[in-house]
Amino acid sequence: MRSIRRRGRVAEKVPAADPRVALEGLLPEIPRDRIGEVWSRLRACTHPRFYAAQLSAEELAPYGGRLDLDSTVAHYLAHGARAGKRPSVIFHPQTYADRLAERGLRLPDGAVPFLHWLSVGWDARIVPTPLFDEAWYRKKHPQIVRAWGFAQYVDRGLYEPQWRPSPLGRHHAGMSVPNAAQEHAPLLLPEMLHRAADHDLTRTSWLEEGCLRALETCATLRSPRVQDLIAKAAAIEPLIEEGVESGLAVTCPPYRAPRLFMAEQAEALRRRVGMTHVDTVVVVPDLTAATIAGVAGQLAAALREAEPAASVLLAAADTAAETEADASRGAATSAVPGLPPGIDVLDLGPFAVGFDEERRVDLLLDLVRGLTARRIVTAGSRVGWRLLAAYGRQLSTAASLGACLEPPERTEQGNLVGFAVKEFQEAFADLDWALVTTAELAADLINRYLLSGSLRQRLVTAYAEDGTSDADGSARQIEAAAVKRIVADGERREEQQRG
Amino acid sequence: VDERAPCDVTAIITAHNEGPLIGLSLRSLLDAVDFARQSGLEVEIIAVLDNPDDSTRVAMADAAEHGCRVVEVAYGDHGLARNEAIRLSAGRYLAFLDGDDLWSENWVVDAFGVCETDPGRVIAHPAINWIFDNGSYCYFLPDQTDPAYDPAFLRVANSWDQLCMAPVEVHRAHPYHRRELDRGFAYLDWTWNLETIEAGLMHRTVPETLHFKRRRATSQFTQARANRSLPFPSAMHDYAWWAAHEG
Repeated sequence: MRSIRRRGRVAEKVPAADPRVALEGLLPEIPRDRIGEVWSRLRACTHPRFYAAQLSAEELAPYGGRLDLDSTVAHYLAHGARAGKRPSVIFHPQTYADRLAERGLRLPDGAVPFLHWLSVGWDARIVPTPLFDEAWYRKKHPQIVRAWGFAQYVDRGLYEPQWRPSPLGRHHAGMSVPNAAQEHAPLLLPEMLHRAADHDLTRTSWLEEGCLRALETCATLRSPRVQDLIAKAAAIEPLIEEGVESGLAVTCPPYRAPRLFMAEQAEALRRRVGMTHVDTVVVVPDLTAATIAGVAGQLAAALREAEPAASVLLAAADTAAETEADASRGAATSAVPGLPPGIDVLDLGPFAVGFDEERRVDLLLDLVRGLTARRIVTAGSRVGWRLLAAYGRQLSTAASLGACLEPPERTEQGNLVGFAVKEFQEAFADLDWALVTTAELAADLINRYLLSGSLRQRLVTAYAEDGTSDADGSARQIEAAAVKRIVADGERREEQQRG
Repeated sequence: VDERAPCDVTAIITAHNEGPLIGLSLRSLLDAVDFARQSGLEVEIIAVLDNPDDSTRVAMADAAEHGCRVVEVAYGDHGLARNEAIRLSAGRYLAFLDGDDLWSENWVVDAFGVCETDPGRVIAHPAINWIFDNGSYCYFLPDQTDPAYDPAFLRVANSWDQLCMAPVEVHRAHPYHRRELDRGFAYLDWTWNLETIEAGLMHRTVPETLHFKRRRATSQFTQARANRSLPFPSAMHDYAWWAAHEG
């Protein structure tokens, strides 16, 4: 009975009482007429997903596992403040304490550091995070009119990719995310939550630790010895010091570097995959039932049947995930309904949180090279097409490249969608074969591109006839002859390479 | 057979079309060599001019007066020109400088000191690459002995450039590739780093040393990047290599 009550108490939603009253209670020394100002700052600096990452599943359950801004603020004031939780990505407690000390100040006994900053540190323009450099920000963004650049960063810079908060970089891939500002979801969140299990997020994070180490490393630039060496070199070549006054960007692996996060994710993916070789990788957009039932899933199954000893992996490259905590579903398994046994599937989405397309392509490149795939096929995946367009030349030296082409369709808005025309044009020279789903499409390609005999031979027609199903209503299946051709082409190519 | 007396370090400057800028680089190299000689090191200087244009040839016309042996080759390839320099070197360690970059004065002597901490096994890099001209930034090179450094980073990005100091036997065992831009393979430095790490060598940084690297719109790096090039295939790209070296 007691345990039930205890569980019930933890799982309760925060009472509907005015959270401002709770704020007043936590800031007894602040004049009442200033509470509204602090309240506004609190809301501006609160980041629900970051705060939620510090709560247990049980604590989140009453909120359906997801907090919004109001519930985050209310929960923080009711529980989190006293429990030492951090509601904000731009507040690093140790940095705040250090910067207070630099000014000869300290936190009063019993004060909640974050609330102290909102009510005292903010007015003193103390930047409480290693992620941001006020002088740098002002130099790089002279258009900012607000007296304190950090306040602008809190309101806009966190959510828009063009703002560079520090010489150490943007702390994200530079991609804009829809509704980031409305949802108080800073673009740096993926890096802030990276390896969350390895860090006490109430105190620090992978991103902040990296920045702190990088800043320590950068401090060597100010040593008298290094300054002397720079001056001597500049005495020979004055251009060395030109432009330094406008701020010197810094790259500092393994602590901060543009592709560091991507490299971390590539390695996490390798560990998660748990395999060292796959014969065929079929790159698909997602692992939905439609994809599995479509030409990609059928091709994978047919290849598996044609080469029972050869492994096949369906890799979903276009999916989106909110957090890398979802990475567990990225495990290579064969648990997808509709696929015959022996075909592994992998979702790259959880390993590509916050990635732009270039990084997604590079993640996929690392995977197919890592698995030494001897056949790489893209089937409806935008990222897969980009992979072949960008790196088809290099990949074709070690693997047979193929693609599935489905006819373009016109949307209700009149837009033409289908296989990626530009990428097809860039990649076709490196493809050994292209599986076309209709004879009409093959004829169209032959006609428009005036395909020569040898290029024409690369087109393999998947189905005997058009239509979505056979006459008896069953889903149509890829012709065995088409798959035999693909397999035979691969064998011939491997023989040539051996020769 | 080269019968020159062996020495501690061969300082090598390579050039192609740098023109008078190579004079600045040679000035910086001579300063670093003088500094090293004052510390007791024996250093020889070689300049390899690969298909040099007239202005570069003219700029180097008096280099021999500064103790610099000038060799002209016609490879039209950075890697092969470096391999020729390696073949000509009498130093136990080789230090490369590009014809428009500069060394900090302490580079040769301090890098030699780090290489000698484990002779034959260490490749020394500057602590800082200071990029200048057409935009400035600093690149702090990682030290492979830093527990935070994961060599897996090399699968997706390079860590070190070619302006290192390394034992001559390492260079002879791992010559540079010829660039194959048409096949999409370039990044000789990245490829070399992969190969040397696979071979068990250790890339270290030398505290308080800098290389000042000029950013040129037509640099090999810029060309390789625009061409969507990759480093040459390496065992480290293969998951099986990582499984074998796990832990």
